[in-house]
Amino acid sequence: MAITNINYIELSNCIVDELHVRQRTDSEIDLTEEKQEWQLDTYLLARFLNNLEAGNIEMEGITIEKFAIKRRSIDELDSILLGYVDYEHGESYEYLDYTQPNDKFIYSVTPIATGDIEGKPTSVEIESDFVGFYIVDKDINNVLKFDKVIGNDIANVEKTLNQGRIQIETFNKYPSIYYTEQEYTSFSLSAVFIPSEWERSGKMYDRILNNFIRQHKSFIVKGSDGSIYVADISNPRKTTIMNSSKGFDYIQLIIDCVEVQDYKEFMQK
Amino acid sequence: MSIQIPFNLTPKGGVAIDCNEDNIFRWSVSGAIQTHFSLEFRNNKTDEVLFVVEKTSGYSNFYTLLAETINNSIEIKWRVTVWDENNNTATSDWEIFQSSSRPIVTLISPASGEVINSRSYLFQAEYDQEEGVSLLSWQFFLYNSSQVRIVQTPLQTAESLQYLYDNLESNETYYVEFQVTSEKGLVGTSGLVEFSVVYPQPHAQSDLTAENIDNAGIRLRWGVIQIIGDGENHSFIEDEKVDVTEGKVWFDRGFNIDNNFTLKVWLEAVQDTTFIINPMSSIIISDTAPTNNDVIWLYDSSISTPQELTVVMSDTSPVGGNYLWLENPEVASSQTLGALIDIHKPENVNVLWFDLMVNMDEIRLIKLRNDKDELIELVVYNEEFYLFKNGKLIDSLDIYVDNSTKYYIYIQQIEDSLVLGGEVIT
Repeated sequence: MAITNINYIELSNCIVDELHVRQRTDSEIDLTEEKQEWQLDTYLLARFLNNLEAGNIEMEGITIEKFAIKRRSIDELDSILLGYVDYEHGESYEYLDYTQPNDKFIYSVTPIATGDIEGKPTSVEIESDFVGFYIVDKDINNVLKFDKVIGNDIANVEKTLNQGRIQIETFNKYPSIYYTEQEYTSFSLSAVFIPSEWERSGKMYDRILNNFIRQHKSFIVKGSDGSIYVADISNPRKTTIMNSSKGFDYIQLIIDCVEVQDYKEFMQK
Repeated sequence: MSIQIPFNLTPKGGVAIDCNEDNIFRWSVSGAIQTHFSLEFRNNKTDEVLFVVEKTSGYSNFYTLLAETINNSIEIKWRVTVWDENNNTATSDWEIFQSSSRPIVTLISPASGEVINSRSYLFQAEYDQEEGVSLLSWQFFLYNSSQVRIVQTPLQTAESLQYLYDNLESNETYYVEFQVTSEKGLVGTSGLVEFSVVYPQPHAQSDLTAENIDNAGIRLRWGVIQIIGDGENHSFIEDEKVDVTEGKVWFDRGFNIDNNFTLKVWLEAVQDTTFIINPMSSIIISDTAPTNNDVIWLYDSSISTPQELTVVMSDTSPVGGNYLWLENPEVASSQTLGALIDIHKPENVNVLWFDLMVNMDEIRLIKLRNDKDELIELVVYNEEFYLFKNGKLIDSLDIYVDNSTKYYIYIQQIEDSLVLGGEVIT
């Protein structure tokens, strides 16, 4: 019988240069004396570089506490700190980001050790590629998706750039025009929402009101065109089918969005 | 038109200059071209003449007062007299300046070239001014390795020159500078002082993946495993090997080898021990010790001629012959046993096993164990590596040369099979 669940390895009576234990045992595994980096199937790799580290994180004995998740556009230098994920021994980790516009990004995960020592980040590049408009509650990752229309209609989103502009009538032929710093975008989103099997559209609408409209806080509103805003959402208008039945029940929802803050500023809060 | 009174004299207005340095005194003239000039410096309070530049030919409208011509810490008035080619002369009004030593700022920490081992550091400097003029303000500057300024504090007025910076990056070189301004308005600098930063940084080798998911999201996934071993009487050699010839190290957290595995280890300084092992030993009875040492000798003073004994196990005493009888009530028909001298228990039960009672701790190189105390052990003796599983010999590897040879050894467990392999590293 094989000996299973080995959780103790001891070395003695010699000088050890390196110890590498892997899960793989098939004919493809390299059994030559060539040393290898940490592999996907590695259980333990001890190099004895003046320490007894044997995991895939070299910390010289310092305990890792958490990971910092950062994101930057591929053409920018500054990263946005998205959040932290606590370190738990032997865990696989996952982080979901709904706050990004459609763009190419470098995401990085940086281990943070005791004393807020920031480690070397691991990075990955990805192009965000979603379709439609989305309202995102960044605090709890709640998402409201505007991507469905009735029939083959093409839903348009008309955006207005509102600029602080003062026009003063004068005694001259033409008025005087002054611009202030004020500049924001406003628009309305409209889409069809179909309830899931376990609820009717009225209940779904209530849920949308509670999760978004009644929150009275700023949301991220992003579109597949790459635009992204921090907006106040208000004035919902709902159109429902009078003679709806289970299986044929949907609402058309229109929401007004008014840009209220700079996106980068909002993300750094 | 004759030359007019010189104007635009500098320094002026009570500004402070350090007379321990060369200083340039300037003026402007009008009305005619200046052909000669002279300067006069007096103590503004006592009117004592401090220094005079006698009538000197020259068209230039400046004069360099050499360092240490006039002492510091004096309020001084100065004027210039100019002549034109017709020997007309004109003398300026007095202008006032102060002589004061430039303040000195000395960096206390870090020292030049120092290696800082932390992310945050309290930079400290010391202010001094020869005549005791007080500090007015100071600034801290931090530069990167290209001497590009990356940190600049606002003007500070606190008496202590110290600044805590907590964002130093490891494996980077920096330059630090303190600038001070005395109450007389003179500025001193520490100059750019180089230091470097090295501190342990966690480095994960995890594979980070990203993917687009529903609801316009991005999912990141990664895995990190931290395993930190422990040890006793161990030391590190050249920062890349661990010496456990007199001690041991062990790993008991952060991993679980649940089934099959390949273990690879690179070893050296492997000390061999010789044991007398004989799988088919003889049992000799005599009054004198035998010459060969792989037999089992039973002393009997009455037997001068050595006799070999046959081991018999039975419930009754054997009749006649030279027997070593092992009484066993459960064995009705007598059973002859071979004799074995070894360090481990044989699989064959029909032998009389003489255990050498070897201390495995002294010959074991690797021990793998689970919570059920099941063991896999790599040991070395008699110039061979042996693999034991739960105390039972499983495999051996005959590559041992000596204790100055380096070895690469692997152990593979594939289901029920356990294999030992390896080679000498040249």
